[in-house]
Order: sequence, then C-alpha cells, then structure tokens
Amino acid sequence: MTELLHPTALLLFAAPVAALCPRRARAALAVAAPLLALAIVWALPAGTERLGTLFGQPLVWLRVDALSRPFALVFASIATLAALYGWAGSRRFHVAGLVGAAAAIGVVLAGDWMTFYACWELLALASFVLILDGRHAGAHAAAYRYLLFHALGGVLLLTAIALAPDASGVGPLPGGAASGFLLAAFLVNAALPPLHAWLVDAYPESSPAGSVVLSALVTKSAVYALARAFPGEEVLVGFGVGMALYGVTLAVIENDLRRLLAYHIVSQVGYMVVGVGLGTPLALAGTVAHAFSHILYKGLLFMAAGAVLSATGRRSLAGLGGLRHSLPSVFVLYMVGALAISGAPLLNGFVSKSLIVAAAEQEQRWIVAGLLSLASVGTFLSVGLKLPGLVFGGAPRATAVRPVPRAMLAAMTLAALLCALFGSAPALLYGLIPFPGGYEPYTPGHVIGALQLMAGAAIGFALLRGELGARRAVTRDADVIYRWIGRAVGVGLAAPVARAMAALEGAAASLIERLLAAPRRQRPQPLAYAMVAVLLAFSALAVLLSLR
Amino acid sequence: VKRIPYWLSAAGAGAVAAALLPYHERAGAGLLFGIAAAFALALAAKALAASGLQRSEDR
Repeated sequence: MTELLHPTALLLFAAPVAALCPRRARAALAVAAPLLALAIVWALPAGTERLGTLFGQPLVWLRVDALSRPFALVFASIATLAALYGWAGSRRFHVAGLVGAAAAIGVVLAGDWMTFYACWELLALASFVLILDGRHAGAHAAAYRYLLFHALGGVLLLTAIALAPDASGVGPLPGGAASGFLLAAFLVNAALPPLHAWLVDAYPESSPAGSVVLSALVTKSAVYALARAFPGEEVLVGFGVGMALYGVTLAVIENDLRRLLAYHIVSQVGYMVVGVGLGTPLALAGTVAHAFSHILYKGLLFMAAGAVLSATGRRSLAGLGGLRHSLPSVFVLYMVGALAISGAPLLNGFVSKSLIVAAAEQEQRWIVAGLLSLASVGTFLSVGLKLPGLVFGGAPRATAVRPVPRAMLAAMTLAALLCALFGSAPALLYGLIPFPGGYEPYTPGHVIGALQLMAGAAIGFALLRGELGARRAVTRDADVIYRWIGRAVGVGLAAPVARAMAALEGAAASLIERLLAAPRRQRPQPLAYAMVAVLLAFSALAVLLSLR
Repeated sequence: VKRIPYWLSAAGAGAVAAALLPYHERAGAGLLFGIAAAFALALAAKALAASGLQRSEDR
C-alpha cells in the first residue's frame, strides 16, 4: 500500500475534505491524516524513489534517504500533535495545517528542484494562512509582511534554479551565481539576522495552535535544505554562531511571551546552521538530531505559551504571574520543554545539542564550542529561569484563568514524553538519523559540564534578578531598518508614482470611454487583461528556464 | 556599582567568561564560566535595551 501512497499527496487530499467536514470530523481528520502520513514515511525504506514527468520535464516526486527520512518523520509527528492540540481550532487552522505539513514533507522528500520549489512555495502560502488564523489586525499585517519576505526567498530560489547549468537533483548547485542565490534563499527561510524579522514578527501573531505548526516547519525545512546543498560551507559556521548569540541576547530582554520563544528559534537554528557549516558526519548528525529534538521541545514550549494565552488572554510578561497555582500541569509541561531546550540531561536537547558542540570540539574549533556553550547559558537564563519565574512564579496577576482544554494538555503531555524518551534513550534518536557512531552523550564530563553551566546561569540569574524583570516595553529589531528604508523610498517615490498612476488612470478611462462608445465591437474584459498578464509572466519564466 | 555602564560590565564579565572558556568542562571552572556567561549576556542585552533598542509601550 505504501508503494502507492505519497504522504504529501495524502495530506493534500485530506485538506479539502477537512474543509468540507463538520467540526468534529474535521478535527479527527486533521489528526488522523498526518498520523497516517507518519506511518507511510516510517514504512518507506531509505533508497525509495518515485519518478514521473510533467510537461515533458522529468521529476523525482519522492526520494527517501538518511537525511530526508528523519525530517519527514518529525514533520508528520508534530503535525499530528499540533492538530490534537488545536482540536477545537478553526477550519482555517485545520486546512492550512494539513497543507503546511504536506508542503514541508514534500520539501524534504523532493528529489528534483522543481518539485522542491513547488512545495517550498506551498509551505509559504500555508504559513501565511496560519498567521492569518490569529484573527486580529496585527496578525493580518504580520501575515502580509511574512508573505513579502517569503516571496523574496521564493524569487531567489527560482533564480538559482534558472541559473544553474544542471539542476536535476536536489543537492549542491553547480555555478557560483546559482549557488549564491540558493544560499540566500535558504538563509531567508532560516531567519539569519537581519533577515529574521519576519519570524519574530509573525509567529507570535498566529493562533496558539498555528504558532506550533509554524515553529516546526519553516525554519527546519531551510535547515534541511542547507544540509542538503551546503554541507561544509565554512561561512555557515560564523552565521550559525551569530544566530545562536543574537537570538538569546534579544530573548533576555524580550517582554512578550511568544516573541521570547520566537527569538529562541533563531538561536536554536543557529546551532543547526553551525553543524551544517562544520560539515563532518558527526556535525551533520548533530544538525539533524537537533532539528528533530527542537521541533518537539519548541512545539511543546509554544503549546504551553498558547495554553497560557488561551487561559488568561495575556501574552505580556508584565501582565502575567503566579500561574503555577491555577495551571500546574501547564507549568510542569512547560518546564520539561524549557529544560530540554536548555540542554538538561535526560531530555532530548541534551543529546542533540551536545552532538554539535562535540563535533566543533572534534574539529578543534574551541571558540565555536565555547560560544555555543555561552548561548546555552543564555537559553537557560531566559527560557528556563526568567520566563517561568515571571509567568508561573510570583503573585497571581490575571484576574480570571480559564481551564485549559483536555486536548491541549494531551498533546503537550505526548510532546513532553517524546522529549524525555529521546533524551533518556539516545540510541532511539541516533537510530533515526545518519549517525556515524563514536559519540556517547552520557559521560560524567558531559553531564557535569551541562549541570555546571545551568547552575552558573541560575546563580547569575539570582544575582541579576532585579535587572531581568518584565518591563512594559517593545523591543525594536531589524524591522526598524526595513521600515526606515521603506519610508525613505516611499517619500521619495510618492510624487512620481502618484503622477504615473494618475496618467495611467486617465489613459484607462479614455480607453473605456472609447470602448463603450463602440457597442458593436467586442469589449475586452478586465479578466482577459489579467489572463494575458499571467500568460506573459509564465512565458517569461518558461523562456528563462529554457535558457539555462 | 550602578554607575558602571551596562556595556562595560558586560565586557568585563565576557572577558572573565573568555578566560574560563578552555576550562569550562572542569568541575568548578564550569560553574564560574556559567555565572560569568550569564552576567555577560544579561548585561549585554540590557546595554542594547538602554541604547534605544527597547522603548516603553506608553510611547
């Protein structure tokens, strides 16, 4: 049966069916479809390929290998958990969640660049709809800004494919310009500062369940793409260290619950990018293991943040406190995720993060390993101490706390169990990834080292507690640059654009008047003009592709 | 102590962390590295916030 089914096709088929179903059936389908996709990916052995053609173009719809399989497995897993978490979610969430999971799995299973590109763009569109699911003015604005960034990433990707002399299989592209465009496209999606503003801007604006899906799929698809096309690219080591430190530093002063977690996506993806840049088998295994682990514990953290938001209606740390009494289960489950991301022993973050640090040490990149340890201290400081201290500790601040739905708690419990399972039995995780062997995470040195860093961070936090309290303040980020440039360009171009628009309007009006004055002649419809424009755009694209 | 600018304190803590870096997996030194690293990051973040990166919600 699995010979015939493609997990992406299954999820894409389920999405419109879910759109037509009543609420309970829709929610059940949104859980069942990714679960079935997970079973299909599990049953597909490495080395499976499925070929096809479209308009004469040979395509590799599906290619399963040691790199793509773990990503597909964890994407299907988190899609299942997110759908369970968002059981009572909107039709928009269920449908876009299924399409997003289909697209992300399609990206990692694509064996040719055109299939990859189609799934990449579909993921951007599904993410756009998931951000809209926040259903407030801020979410709409953030969704359109997100779309602008990802349109840029898509154009860069398409340009790279068009420029490459041979773009048959997903992997390193020959040609300097093509390779440069490809790297730029992937770095936009990986949220490399200062191109990361879309992530911190958009993810916190989605619905609680929507942000769980978003946190798992987009940046990790980019990590997969980097690992596929740029293993051993030295520049990525510096970029990754910069991301790891930038994310934690901004997270330390962030006052918004979900923006703080979003900054930690930038930081954790930095670790993965370092692993790709190092490029050794151990480092690449660390990247895949950390992406796998990160999707589970970051999903759990966003679920806990969403549960707090649903229960209190608040997301500013300055307006929260004392929730350990009213939401004890959420507190415990949040702490499992917080300790996992901080690299605490017995949880999955420890076994994956230490792989990347060990790979850096193996290559005698001591500064890289040290800076990653520094970032790890910052992670525990903000996610493991500051955030839970302000949200769950102290005196209660929220006046009314609604109970958290059982489906949300069930999904969080399952995610926490997976974090503990892969952390306490690392062989299970290493069995799923391209692990070269020769590394043991649970040595006294590693465990004591990790515990010391956490204890040091805790002492530092206790001493600096007065400086790290919540403020009613907004953190400005790289988006300030874009807004400044946009405003400057807008002011400079406003008058000429207005004149051009007025001239075009006048020409269009006179054309319409002439057409109306000649009733016997065929009147071109606006739709016809739009179709001509689309055909011309596609023709231009086809010409560009045929030139390569 | 409060008169010392955040960036200067962060730089000092960062220097201590850097000095301890080669030994951070050894018992004791790792703890000191953790404390120095926490100070360096937190104070660097505060320096950034004070430089205009953060503004009050009331503004």
